[in-house]
Amino acid sequence: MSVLARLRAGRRPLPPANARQGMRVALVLGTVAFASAPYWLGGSYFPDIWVDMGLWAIIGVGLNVVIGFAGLLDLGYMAFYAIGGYVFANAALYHGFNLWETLPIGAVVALVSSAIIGFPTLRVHGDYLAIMTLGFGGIVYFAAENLSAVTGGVNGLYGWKTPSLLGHPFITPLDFYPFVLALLIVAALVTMHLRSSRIGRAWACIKDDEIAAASSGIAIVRYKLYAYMLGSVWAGLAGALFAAKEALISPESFTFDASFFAVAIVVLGGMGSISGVIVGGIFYVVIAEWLSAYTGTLSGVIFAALLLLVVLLRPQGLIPYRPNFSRHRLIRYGLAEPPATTDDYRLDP
Amino acid sequence: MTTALTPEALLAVSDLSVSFGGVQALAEVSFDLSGGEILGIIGPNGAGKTTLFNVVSGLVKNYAGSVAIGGHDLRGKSPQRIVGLGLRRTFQNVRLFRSLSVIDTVLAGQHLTVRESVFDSAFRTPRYHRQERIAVQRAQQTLAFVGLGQVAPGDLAASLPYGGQRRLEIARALVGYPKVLMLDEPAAGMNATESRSLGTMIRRIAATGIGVLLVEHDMRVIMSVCDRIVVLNFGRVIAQGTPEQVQSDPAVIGAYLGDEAGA
Repeated sequence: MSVLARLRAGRRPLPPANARQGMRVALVLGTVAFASAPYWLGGSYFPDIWVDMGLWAIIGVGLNVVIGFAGLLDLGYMAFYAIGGYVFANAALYHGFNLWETLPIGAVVALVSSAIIGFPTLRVHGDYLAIMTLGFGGIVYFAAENLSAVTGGVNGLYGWKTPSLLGHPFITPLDFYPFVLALLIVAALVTMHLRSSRIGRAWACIKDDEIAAASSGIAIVRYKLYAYMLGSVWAGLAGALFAAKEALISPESFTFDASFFAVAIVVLGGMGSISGVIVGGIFYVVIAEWLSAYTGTLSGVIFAALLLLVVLLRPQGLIPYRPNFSRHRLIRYGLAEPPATTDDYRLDP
Repeated sequence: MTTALTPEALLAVSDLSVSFGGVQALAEVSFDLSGGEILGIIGPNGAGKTTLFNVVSGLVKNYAGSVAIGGHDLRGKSPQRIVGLGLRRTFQNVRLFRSLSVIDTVLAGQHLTVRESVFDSAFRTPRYHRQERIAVQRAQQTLAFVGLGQVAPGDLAASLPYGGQRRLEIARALVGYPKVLMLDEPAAGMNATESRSLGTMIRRIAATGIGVLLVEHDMRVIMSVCDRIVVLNFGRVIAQGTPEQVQSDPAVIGAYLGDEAGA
């Protein structure tokens, strides 16, 4: 392959086809083995950890839309996790709703509340946006503590009828695990699709250069709002699953720390990279579990130190996002050859 | 009224004045641009050329006078609304999206013409695939038109050489079917051959009925391409006319070479 041809094919040469095939097979097998681990590891400890990993991975995937795609620093993301959880708890406790009936309501409430919060908030830039989202996270936390009529105050809500599907009750973490995994896969696929589409390109433009984005006809505030909403909806869904799995919801799950760790997962995993933030979520749970078993309250400090190390040594994250347009898409949609002549190029619609 | 006889100007700037603090950046600037016309804006550094572009594209909002595109007053309109009226521009200090590839940059320029909803995008409906196919192929044609047909479409926009980045900016603007195209120093960083081919391209763009507003320091490009030229100095229009008229205007010579030379 000549140097010129290599340059035209992409930035760096690919490994031989059989090596790529091998790596892909190994990756798929490894992922399947890891994802099915709670079934063959058994017990009740591992399934619980794996559900947590799934939930934090969903949080990472959702927040990645806001931070990684659109470049908006959101320090109050877990507010939507709380909203999803409390919507489910109220629906289950007072209206006898099953989890599956509540999930769409949780999603809608998360969408609507993020629209209401985002509409005035997203007009401010950078640091101010971070401060406003931080404030929103705080408001939701204190509301959860004090609005006892809806949230049960510091004791939280519990005691609803066990969710069931087709007569099968959902009690153990292993019962919930397939649904957490399914939600993670849907979230990853949908956000991946959004990234390489009109809306995803608009987000990238806004993140890179708002003036150039506006000069390309992109409505900045509206697309920031879309990012905020389409990121928050996953937290709403995950929050409902979390409350159902725990059979309890209380404010202590939604402190500022939780929102900070959500941001840390995105930064650690790789902003914009979907596989990266999933690994980030898994990594966070492993570190939090493993470290707190040995070091107790020091685990937070150690996690923060690890985050600093990543930011210093590998600022693009564990699995960096590579923004080059995929060959696959070019082959699928593009012309076979660059046009030989531009004589028939149309400048008017 | 005689408006029925004269075609309405595509871009009408009248009595435009802008001041930043105590500095008068533009003072009572008036000119018209009609479809298919190439209007050069020249003047020494600090004459107000870029400010003029920023007013027309909606980035500078405090101004006196009026600016209209196709009869629509631009006052109070956001940059993206003005793009919706048919204006596209490039920037003096190239403003490309650093995380987008070459072809994604041109796809982003089609934001207003790609018809896919969030639902189409999220679930990859047949319409998504149809729209992406149209958009990617038009992006490839546009890249070829601006002379970037041979670069790797998946490479980052920022990896192009400077002249290529300028061409890519033109492609991003052009792909959105503008009625008015504003080019801010497109020939900067190009050699004589490149700027000649740029001139040919600008002429071809105008031949399709697009009104082109051209700020440029390279006088060969300006004089060979423009139908008319507006000369600014300290924010004021000091001359206006064909390249020949402007070249021989004593006020213009004075502004460029110093007053004694022009006196």
